[in-house]
Order: sequence, then C-alpha cells, then structure tokens
Amino acid sequence: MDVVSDRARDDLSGLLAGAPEVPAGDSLPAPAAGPVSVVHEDLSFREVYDRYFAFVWRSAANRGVRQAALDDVVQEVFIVVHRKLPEFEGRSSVRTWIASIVRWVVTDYMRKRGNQPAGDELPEQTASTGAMPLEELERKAAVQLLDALLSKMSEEQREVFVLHELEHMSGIEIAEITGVNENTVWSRLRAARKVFQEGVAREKARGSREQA
Amino acid sequence: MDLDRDARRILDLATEARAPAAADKARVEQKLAAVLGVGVIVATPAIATEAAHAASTVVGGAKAAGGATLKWWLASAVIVSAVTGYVALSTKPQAPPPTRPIEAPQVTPAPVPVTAPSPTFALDEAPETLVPSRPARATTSKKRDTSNSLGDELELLHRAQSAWRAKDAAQAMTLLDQHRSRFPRSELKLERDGLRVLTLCELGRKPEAKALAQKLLERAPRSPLRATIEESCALK
Repeated sequence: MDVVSDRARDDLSGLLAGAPEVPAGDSLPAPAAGPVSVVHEDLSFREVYDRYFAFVWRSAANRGVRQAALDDVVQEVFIVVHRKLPEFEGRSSVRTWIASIVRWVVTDYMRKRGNQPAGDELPEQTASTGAMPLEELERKAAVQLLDALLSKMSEEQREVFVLHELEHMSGIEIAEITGVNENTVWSRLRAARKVFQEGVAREKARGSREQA
Repeated sequence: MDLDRDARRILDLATEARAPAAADKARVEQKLAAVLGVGVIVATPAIATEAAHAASTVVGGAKAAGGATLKWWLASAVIVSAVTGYVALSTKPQAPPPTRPIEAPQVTPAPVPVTAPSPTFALDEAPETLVPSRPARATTSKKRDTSNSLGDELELLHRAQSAWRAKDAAQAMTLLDQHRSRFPRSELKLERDGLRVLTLCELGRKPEAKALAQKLLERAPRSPLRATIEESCALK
C-alpha cells in the first residue's frame, strides 16, 4: 500500500515520487482558530521542516503508519505545510497546527489503505544509534509492545494517548487538535492509560513466569 | 490513573526507537524538493545577491566539470529562480543551510502535447486567483474529478514550468490555463499564479502581470514566492 498514485510514480519517473492524492473537496486542516493564543512564530518552511521533521515522523509512526509508507506520509504532511504556511496566522502554535495536519494526512492514508493486504509492511527499523545489540532489542521490543497495546485502544483513546504520552501535548492542545472538549480528552486518556498499564503489567507477569 | 515506571520506560524506549535518522530527514527533503519544485527555502533579496555570486563560481565549476547533475541536497528553489539566474548553494555536503536559497533540480521537461492554441488571458477570467485557497468542504457536491490528484496537478505545473524555462511562454500559458480549468479549486493556486505572473511578464503583458501579482501578494503576503514576484516585471 502506498499513498502515492501509481500514475504519478510511473509518469514522472520519480520526479513526483511521493506525491499524494488529495481528494477534491476534502478539507485540509485550516490554520486553527482554537482557544490557544500564542505568539506567532514567524518561521520559514525551512525552519519548520528542520524543527518539526522528527515530530511529524514520530507522530505518523505512532499513529500506525508503517515504516514503508512513512516517507510518503511525512512528505505529504510537509507538502500541505508548504502550501498552507503563508496563510498561517499564528492563532495556534505551529506544533498544534502541524499535529492537525498529521492527523488529517494519516487519517486519509488509513482510509486509502483500507483492508488491502499490508504488502508494504516491512519490519520496523529503529534508528541506527550505535547502541549495543541488547539495547536495540530492548527498543524493538518496546515498539512492538507499544503497537500491540495501542491496537487494543479505541481510535479516540489511541489518539489522545499518543499525543499526550508520546508527544507530550497538553490537554488544551489535544482538545484543539481533536475538536473535543478538554474533559473528554482527559476521560479518553484515563481509559487509554488503563489499557496500556494493564497490558504492560500482563507482559511483565508473562516474562516473570517464563523466567521462573 | 497514571502509568508506572515500567510503562514509562516502554514509552521512552519506543520514542527513542522511532526517532528518525538523519538519513530519513535528508531523504524526505530530497523528495520534497523534487515534488514541490517551487522551493523549500525562501530567497530574500539580501541573500539572493550573495547567492548569485556563489552561483557564478560554484555552478560554473560544476559545469566546467562536465555539467554534472547537482547533488541531491541542492533542493529546488523558488519556482522562478531562473529568472534572475541566481543559484544559491550550500557548502555543506549533508544538509542545506537554514536560510540560503538553493537551485531547483534540473528537470527534464516532460513531453508537452501541442494541441491547443495559446489562449488569451484576462484577469477577469481567473477569479480563482483571488479567492482564498483553503479548500471548500464537499458539502455541496459529492462530485469528484477522478483525475484530480495532486500528482496530476504537479505534473501539469511542472510542464508549465519547463515550458516557461524553455522560453516558451505561450505554451506555459496554455498549460497554466489547462491547470486552471482542470483544477479550479487547486491547493496549488499560489504556485500556479506565481508562475502565471512570470509568464505574463515573458509575454510582455506587464499590466496583467502587475495586477495579478498585487492581488496574489495581498492574498498571501508571506508567500514563499514573494521575493521572486517582486523581482519580476510585475512589480519593478
């Protein structure tokens, strides 16, 4: 599965590799007019890319985008950012705005992906950090457990959990991104934490049994 | 309910594992530069001059070495950087600098179908250039142009850009009109109108270029295309 249209890939021989399809009439995240008032960060696209690339990459991965599609999804996010940045008026933080774009793009990707076979799903690869093999294994195991537990959450719970626990966004920011009130955010987060905590506890217990 | 230490540890490890490598960032940047084709780094007049000087030496050197393809990290510049002929180059081999304008990759012009005569263009025929580019919600119509993909749009714009670079302004205008006709609610209106301003300049239609440029800049005063448009005949 790929978000890139085959036609674009074939016709342009890589020139447009990664060009996403944008359904006519779909609504891209507009520069938010949410409750968060911040000083406008007058950033160039270059600065936005440098500052938020890791955030976008990680957010997309944590939202379930597979390794093989990450390039395309992240690229699509920044295409939208590039187009919309001149209109960004700073009524929300840049990070919140970009998180909204990630949300939209990933949702679109998931919708297109649908029930198709996950033929593009390569083994998750962790960043090469020069770490010892044991540490690498530990990281990989953590990712696998995280993904397994995220999959046990409802979509709403998973979104709030990822934004708060992994991206460290505030309740107000998450409310702005998801369009629900803050109380709902906290309610979802409580439920998501319960799923996660219980899953970790089960895994820990299982590991203890196997070692015994 | 809060998470215990083990749960936090899992989250920390997963976060570390999912941090992108420098190669990931560079690879996506390279693709973006090719896809956008309109520059990911904004040139400013102040550094454009400096960049022009750098280009005259560095690009000259590259050409002298056999016209080698510019390295990938030379991301694309503003769509019309070729107007002033400047090229800003990074001297860093791994990543572009934070503010320097850089040249668009040389794009082999796609075959351009020569079918329609170059239509005349009048501002009053292009109302979409003046309306907000924020996409309308599909509440009034479920109709979808099956060819309306960003890939198609980009392809058409790239062809128009190639025609313009090849000094074939009439063909560029034809393609821009095709784009306007096929994608009236395009997300790439700003880019299209920026190129249209330059094409109008090339065609000697300065009053139209000026009117469109002024409205474009009113619409998006912080557009990455601003510096280029200000350098064009439209606002000189």
